[in-house]
Amino acid sequence: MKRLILVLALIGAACASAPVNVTPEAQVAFKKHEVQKDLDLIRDIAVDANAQSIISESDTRLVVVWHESALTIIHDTTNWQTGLRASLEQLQKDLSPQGQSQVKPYIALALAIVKGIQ
Amino acid sequence: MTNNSTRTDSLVQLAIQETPAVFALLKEAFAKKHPGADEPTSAEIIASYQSAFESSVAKDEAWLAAHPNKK
Repeated sequence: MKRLILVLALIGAACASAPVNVTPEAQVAFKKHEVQKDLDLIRDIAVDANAQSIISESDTRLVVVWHESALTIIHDTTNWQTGLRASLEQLQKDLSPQGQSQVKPYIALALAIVKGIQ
Repeated sequence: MTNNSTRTDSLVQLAIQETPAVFALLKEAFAKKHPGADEPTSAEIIASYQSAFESSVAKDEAWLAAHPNKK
């Protein structure tokens, strides 16, 4: 049930559209912020799972390092969607089977959302 | 455990399919009921994102500092 609520939150964030009477820069910031919320969820799920000893510290470190890098890519670059997709796909490959079992659905959802933005 | 996991996965799939439509309907209903509801300014949106970015990166760095890589 908790997973379902988190998925609804992710999709809800993706469905949000920018307020209409704002500058192009603000619209870009709004969309980046919405995507960041999705990535934050992936990081938070991994950290919570690690705190409960469900996934290893090395898997969690992979996710946290990836997360910081991904947020910086989004924040600092214009054409961030391609780099973010590649990093999400790489993260999926790098995680152990146990780590994948926890975050794979959320990575898949984030990929779908990023693809929808491109 | 396996049955619960399968059921949850099915619900997740259903949520992925149906939630965008549900949110669109809710948003439309809210807009009709509250026309001209206050929206954030451009500056507020940009500042909110910048603040969220900085605090999330800080959270990453705090976790990494608390869990140094053992070699």
